Formats: sequence, C-alpha cells, structure tokens
Amino acid sequence: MQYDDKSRVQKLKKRSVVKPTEARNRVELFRHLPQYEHGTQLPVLQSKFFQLDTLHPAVYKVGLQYLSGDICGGNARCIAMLQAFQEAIRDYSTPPAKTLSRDLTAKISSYVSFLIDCRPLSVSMGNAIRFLKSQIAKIPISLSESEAKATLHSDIERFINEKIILADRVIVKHAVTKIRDGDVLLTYGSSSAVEMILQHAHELGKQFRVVIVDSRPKHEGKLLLRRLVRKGLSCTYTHINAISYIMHEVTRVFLGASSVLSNGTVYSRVGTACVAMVAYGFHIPVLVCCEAYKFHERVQLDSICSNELGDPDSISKVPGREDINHLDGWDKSENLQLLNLIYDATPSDYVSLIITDYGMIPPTSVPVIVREYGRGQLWI
Amino acid sequence: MNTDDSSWWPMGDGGDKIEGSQATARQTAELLRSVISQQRVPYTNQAGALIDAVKAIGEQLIAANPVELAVGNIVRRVLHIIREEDLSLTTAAIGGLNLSAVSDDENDDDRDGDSTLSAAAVAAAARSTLRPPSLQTLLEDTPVSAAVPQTSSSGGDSEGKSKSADKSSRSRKLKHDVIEAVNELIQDIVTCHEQIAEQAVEHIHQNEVILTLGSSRTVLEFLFAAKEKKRSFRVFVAEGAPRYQGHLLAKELVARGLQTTLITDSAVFAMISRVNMVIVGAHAVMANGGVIAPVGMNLVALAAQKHAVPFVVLAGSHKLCPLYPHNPEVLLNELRSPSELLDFGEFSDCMDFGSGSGSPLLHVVNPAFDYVPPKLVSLFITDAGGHNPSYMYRLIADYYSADDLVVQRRATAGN
Repeated sequence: MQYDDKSRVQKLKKRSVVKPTEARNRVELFRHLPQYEHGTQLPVLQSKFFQLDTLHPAVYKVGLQYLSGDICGGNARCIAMLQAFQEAIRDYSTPPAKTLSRDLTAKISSYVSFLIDCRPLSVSMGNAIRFLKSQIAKIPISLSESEAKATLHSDIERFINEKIILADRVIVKHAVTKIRDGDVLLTYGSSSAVEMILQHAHELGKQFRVVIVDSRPKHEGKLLLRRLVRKGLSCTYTHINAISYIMHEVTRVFLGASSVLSNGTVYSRVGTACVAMVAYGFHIPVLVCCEAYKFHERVQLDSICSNELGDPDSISKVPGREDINHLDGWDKSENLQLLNLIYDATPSDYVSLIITDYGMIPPTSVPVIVREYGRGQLWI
Repeated sequence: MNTDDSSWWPMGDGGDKIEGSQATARQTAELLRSVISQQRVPYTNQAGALIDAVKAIGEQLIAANPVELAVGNIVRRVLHIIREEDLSLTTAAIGGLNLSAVSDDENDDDRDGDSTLSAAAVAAAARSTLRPPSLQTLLEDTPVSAAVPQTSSSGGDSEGKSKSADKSSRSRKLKHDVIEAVNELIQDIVTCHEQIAEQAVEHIHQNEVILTLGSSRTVLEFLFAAKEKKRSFRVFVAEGAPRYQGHLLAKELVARGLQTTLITDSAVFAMISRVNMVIVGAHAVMANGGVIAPVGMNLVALAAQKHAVPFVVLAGSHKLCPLYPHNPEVLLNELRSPSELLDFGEFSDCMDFGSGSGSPLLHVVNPAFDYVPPKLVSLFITDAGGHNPSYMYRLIADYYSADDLVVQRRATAGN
C-alpha cells in the first residue's frame, strides 16, 4: 500500500482502531512507507481494551507485545500470532446465516489489520496468514463447526511444528557440519537459528570462538552475548564499525534472515548487508540460515523500495551516555531528519550458502524452491 | 638550553586525539621553533647541531604518542626545512665564493681568508647535502652532519675576529631562515581548512546528496563553503559509534541551514545507493595513499566502491606521513575502553575469571581507527590541491627528507 497517496491514507485512518498521529520530520526518500507513530499509541490502546469487543483478547495482547517490542524476531512473532489465532478460533462461533469459512476469513482479516496497525507484518507472518486463509478456504461445507475448528487447530499446530520447530532442527543439523575445530564464527545481531546452531555445536564439543557484532539502536547482540556466555562459549563483542578490524581473525560468518526473496536477496536486520560486504571483501564464506517458510516470490533490488521505519527518538538518544545530547529538541528543527531503518537488503553475490530445511542451497536456488514446492505445498 | 624542558609534557596526555591533529601539529611546530631559537649553534656545522637538537626532542615527542602521526610529520618537516635552508645557504655561499674570487675591493684579506677558510668546508658541505642518498651514505657510520670535515679548524685560529663575525652571521642567518620557514609552516597548518574549503565549489554542484561519517572540522568548513556559494545539497551523516561524533556534525550543519539526515552506521549500505559523493576527513594519510581514519570508514569506502560512488578524503598537508603502513590495523591503531560498548555493571557476571583456563569468556574489542587502502580512495583534497592516491608518495619528496624517516639521534663521537 502506498502511504504517499493521501486519499488512501485517509480511508485507512477512518477504518483503523489505532489512530495514527501526524508524522514529524519525514525523510523524503521514505515517504511511501508508513511513518513511525507508535510511540504514542500504547497508552491509548491500553485504555481502549474494553471497547474493542470485535477483537479477541489474545490477539489484542499479542498486538500490544509487538507495539512495545517485547516480542521481536521473525519466528517468535509468527509463533505468537499463530497461537493467538488458535485461541481466537477456539472461542469462535459461527453467527447464524453465515458460512464458517467466509466469516472466519473476514474475522482473521480484521485481526490482521489490527496487528498491522501495531507493527507492520514481517514476511514470516505474511506467509503464515496466507497458509491459514488457504486452510480455512479448504474446509468442506459438510464439516460441523467443532470439527472444522479442530481441523484448523491441528493445521496450525502442524505448521508451527513442521515449518518452524523441526525446520530449525534440520538447519542446525546441516549447519554444524560446517563448523570445524579452531573456527572463529562471526554473527550479527541476534538470530534464533544462529543461536541454536552455536549452542548445539558447543554441546557436540567443537572448539570454536564466537564474535558477536552489534549495532544501534536495538543492541540485540547484547542479549545473545549474555545467553552464549552463560552456556560457556568464548565470545568477543564489538560494534559494526569495527568489523574491518575483527574480520582478519574470522573464518566463517553466520547470519539470520527475516526473509529470502526470489532474486536471492536476503532481507534481514539493517547492518547485515554491511557485514556480508566486508566478509566478501575478505573472502570469508557467508552462510545465511533461514527456514523455507520465510521465502517469498517478491523481488527487491535495494533497501528503500520496501522497508520498515522505526522510532527516530531511539537514534537521538544514546542510553547510558547522557553526554550525547546534542540532538535534544530535534523535531523542532525542520532541516533535521532522523532515519531509523529496521531492515536492509543484502545482494545475493555476497551470500555463499543458504541453509534451509530443504538442505544447503545457493542463493540462486531460492526461486526454484518457491516454485517447485509450490505455494500450496510449501506449507504442508 | 635544557633539552628535557617540560614545556612539551602537555602533549603526552589524553585529550581529543582524533580530531586534534591540527592543534597537535601546531603545538609541535611552535615547540620546535622555540627549541631552534634557543639552541646555541657552533661556528661550524650549524645545520647538524640544529638537526640533532630537533631529533632529540622529536624522538621523545613521537614516543609519547606514536599513534598521533601528525607529531612525527611536523618533526620531519622541520628537519627537512633545516636541511633545505642549509642547502640553499651553501649554494649561495658557493655562488658568493665564485663572485668574491673575481671581485676587487678593499676587504681583500678578509675575503681571501674567508674564501680559503670556507672553500674546503663549503665544498664538503655542498658535496654532502647535494649528494643523493646512496647505499654508501646509508651504510656510513658517521652521520651526514659530521661528514663536513673539520678542516676549517686548521685555518680558523690564524684568522681574526672578522672570520668569527662572518661565521656567526652565517649561523644567525641559518637560524633566522629556518625560523621564518617554520613560521610559514605554522601558518599553513592554521589556514589549511580555508585552503581546502576553497576547492569545495569545484566538487559540489546542485542537488547533490553527500554522505559523511563522524565529524571532521575540515568537512564542516568544506560544506559550509559550498553552501556560501549557493550550492544546494543534502547531507546524510552516519553517527559514528561509539563516539557519536556524527550527532555533533548534524547539529552544526542544521544550525547553518543544511538539510541533514542522521542515520545509524548499520544503514550505510542501505542508503549509499542514493548518495552522489562521500566526503570524509582523515586522521593521517600514509605514503602509499592509504588513510588512517576513525573507525567505520573502511565500511563506508567498501560500500562506496561497490556502488561506484566517489570517495573523497580531505586532509591538510600536516597529516601526510612519509611512512608506509605495515599491518596498520594493529600497529597504527588504538584500542579504547570496552565500557563504551558494554556497561561493566551490567555484564560483570560474565567476567568470571574462575572458569576453565582462568581467563574470562568475554572479550570486548573497541578500536579507534580504521585503515582504508588506497584503491578505495578516489581523490585526496589537500591544501595543495586535489591529488590521486598514487601521487601522494611524490608529495613526500617535497615535504620530507629521506634521512629523517627514522627520527633517532645517532650517538656520534665528534659532536
């Protein structure tokens, strides 16, 4: 949806539960994306809880968790959303004179637009929603309501189990074969798949070191660092500007992804492209770990056409460094814009290998998987 | 004069080392100027005495802060100035020698004495300074300054006060010339920003998008100069963690009315496809054209190369260093405190020395500088104009002498 088209934005504002405030100091290049206005929404939403009778409380809770940033990461968000939908479906009852499939689909769509208002969907969530809707559409009319609900429940359960949990185990199994004794592995930010790989390799007794590269403003690497050190892995922590310094020691780079697109581009946390580029310059293999359900048939060339904008205030303030306050009152100045990108697109030439539950494939094989295993079959 | 005088101690302390190259260079030059003016020079071999004095102080200055290359640069510049002034005086003396041999005036005996006295000395000095460095001179044990033979002493005692007056006037002339040249050097250092900023109009046209990282006063003046000349452009500033100097630069640019967008360092690759030019400052420029810059610059340079965006480095001539970088990431780098990245209190439970080999599992790396190889740099803009990276070695021959690459006072017998 084009957010620079005024008439459409007006229509959206009327329909939405969350009333967006006027965006300040928009970066021109990103006018087509929804501007970040969510900082003010949390108290409003909390007060509206009892008025939102169209919304199931589980979905409402998940939406609030997205808004505040408590749940983040593609897999976590997808699982939380699907479990909320499971509860919603369990509590659902078909109104008279309506078919289950159409009404339920409409309800799910309304839940989804609420979640989008809280935070734009990730690709993993989008694919999961398409799966759910296709399953709902396939329910035969003859099935009774409780049977239909039970079928949907078990479908969602199966999706989570096969596409996420078991897929992660297969990825870990493949990836640990790529880790040798004496390796120095670099990872960026915090990816659930990469964390599992490192923990499993350590349990198998392989001797290796980990370098965790982190960046502003989210500092996700700190959480990963704490969990790995607790498990007993030897870790080095640095920030993204220092990767040219640390890359001399590194033997392999493991990265996570939010999605892999059909032209081989890896769509992932901002900064991944920088890490991949420097690793490529040093001739170090870059391995991307991504479950197959996150693949998408879309193509993208750069990070600007499609992205997500985050909170600009988290850039102007540096937590823990009170002396860095040069930009207080930045929104009053019309010449200054702060840009907080969430994602970026890594070109496929920087990626050596993608490890998925279908095996270890080069980036050029992603459209093959999307096509061969088909949209219907990808999620069964 | 006490060569260990403590006036140079302030340079050894902390302070803002990265952005302070200009201030450091200027203070070094002023200090060396006072050293020269207070140095007593002998009647013969004045240049050698000055060179030794400057080397003695210079060695200590460089050892105090090896990473601040501007100090060593200025020491070598001053040594080069001394040698050059000495050379020009001796060539003038040779020229004067030829003239006096045919001239005919009443100060005959003085002139004769002067000529006989100085002929041997002047010829020897000319030989030693004019002779290009060859393997023989490099392997000679005696320094060049002592190569001037002491033959002058043979004729010296018999002459009168006029000789000593001439010699002292010549030595005063050398010191005077050297101090004048050092003053010019200080002036160059102080005005380097203006001279670089004058070239801004040639490089920035209309509707440009410029990317920079961190904060550099040279870049600031450069962009202001372009704004003065009514060029319209926008600036993306990468904040430059963990010092966040980019915030300062953004604030200054906005105060002057420039459209500025502040981005995080991780977004550099994402944004660089929409950028026309990258303009950055440098901490030091090495002899091969490589750049020592604040950390994160190599990332920007690689991204610029991938997207064919020109990478322009602004550097005053006091930043040009005659050394070739060998393993610069380690040897010309400085590791800063980890507390800038991780809060000690928050992560104190990970610093457990009691596990396994007795060393903690957590290491934090916080380098201050980055090395950008010359192939990633499109253009250097210095106060002497714009240059290719492959040309920088040639500028070194203008500013430095080959004898001064290692600033070390050699212990000599005859000094």
